[in-house]
Amino acid sequence: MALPKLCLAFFATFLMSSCAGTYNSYVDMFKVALTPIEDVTLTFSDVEQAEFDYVYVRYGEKPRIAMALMLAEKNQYKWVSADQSLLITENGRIVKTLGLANDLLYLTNRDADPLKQQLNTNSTWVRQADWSVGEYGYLMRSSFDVYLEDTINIFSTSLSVTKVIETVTYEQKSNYLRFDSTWQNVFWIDALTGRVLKSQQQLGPGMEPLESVYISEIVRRLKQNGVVVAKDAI
Amino acid sequence: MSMRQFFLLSILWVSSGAVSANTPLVDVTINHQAYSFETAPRLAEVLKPLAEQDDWYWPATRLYRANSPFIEQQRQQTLDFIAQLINTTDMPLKALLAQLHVDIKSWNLAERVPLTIDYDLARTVPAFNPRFEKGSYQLFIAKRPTDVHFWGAIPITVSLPHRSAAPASSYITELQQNQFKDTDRVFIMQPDGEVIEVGVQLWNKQHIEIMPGSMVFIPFATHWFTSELTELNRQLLALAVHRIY
Repeated sequence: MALPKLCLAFFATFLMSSCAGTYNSYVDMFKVALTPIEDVTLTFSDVEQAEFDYVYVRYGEKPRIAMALMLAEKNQYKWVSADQSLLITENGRIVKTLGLANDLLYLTNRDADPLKQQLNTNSTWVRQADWSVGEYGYLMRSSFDVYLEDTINIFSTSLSVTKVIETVTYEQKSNYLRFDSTWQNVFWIDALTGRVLKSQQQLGPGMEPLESVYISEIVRRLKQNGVVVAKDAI
Repeated sequence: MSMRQFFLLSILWVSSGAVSANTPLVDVTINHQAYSFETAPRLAEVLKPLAEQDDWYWPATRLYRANSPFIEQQRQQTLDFIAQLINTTDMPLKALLAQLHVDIKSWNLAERVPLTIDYDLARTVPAFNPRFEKGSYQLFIAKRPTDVHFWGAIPITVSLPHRSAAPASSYITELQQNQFKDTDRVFIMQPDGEVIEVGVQLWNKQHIEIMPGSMVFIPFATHWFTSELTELNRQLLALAVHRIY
């Protein structure tokens, strides 16, 4: 009787050991799946000493990432992420994307964007957008509300800014069922330089909003203002 | 070997080296301006001289390889096929085919290089920044086109203003009607080289929009002339991909 028991024990041990690798890989997979990916956070000192400019970007509910300024040319800033996605901005306005599910290919009439000019509550802007999913020339009309007093809280301090709310209307009759042909973008602008320091922009109907914070410019602004910020402030 | 022979051979070797060093490996004509590269350039390097000069519409960028021998053979094959059809058809199809024969003879053709071209993408993602092979190329960079061009089973090529957010079917009523064109479908030949077949009748209509600057091929209705017009449609589409416009 001892021999069958021994064989059974040996066989069971063999089976268990054979499954151990698979079992462990399942455990690892669930650990990875259930561990939340944290927002990228850079300290004041990190940003201050960085070789490149950085902008925080959050796309919808996804974790916040930091994108580096790859190039500044033709009044455009070209921001690249670690996964080689690209956002192109003109004074904070996202005018082109590469790497999203539906990329913004082209935006017309960009020179007339009130964000680049003397912005007031009567400002309006009309442009057309081309999308990589095969939609071309979609008309968007914007009106702006300017709120002079607002603050951005970051690096354990605050910075006075002008808040601008842009109401965007997607003028084209929808080809699909859409419930959000009107939405709002928000820009927080440095009153002194006119630069957009923070924004919440929805590029098109049904798309998740993109939140951006130009942390390198904020660090420069705080230093110019003589604000003392702890090196490890986030 | 005498000193004199050694001296002469040395001069020959040095001069041949100098010639090969100065012979461009890649010639690219960008919007009719010629650029030469002595070593095989990457796409971003080729685009650089013009990329920052204007607000280009990168989806409409087209790249062709010059001097590909098969293109002229393909043209001749299509012309011969049309000539054969002309001999076996009656008016008014004969006149339509004859006009097409004349048009195709005048087409400027070169081998289309199917490639996604975007200066920003090329500088960001290495996979979209390929190295050019040795040869001569023609590159066309444009601002956002305002027109869409229709050709095929219609008497003349028609250019219509691009319509915002409009499906391909919305243009069809603008085209001259004739009994030989296929009223069920068209082929959108996008500037980036992609060809999309689109249903335009009530029963097969799809909401597919035309990229600005596209060529749209109106095929011949195949029920009129059995399989020969099916073959003609196939040959025209295959040839038109390489058409420089």
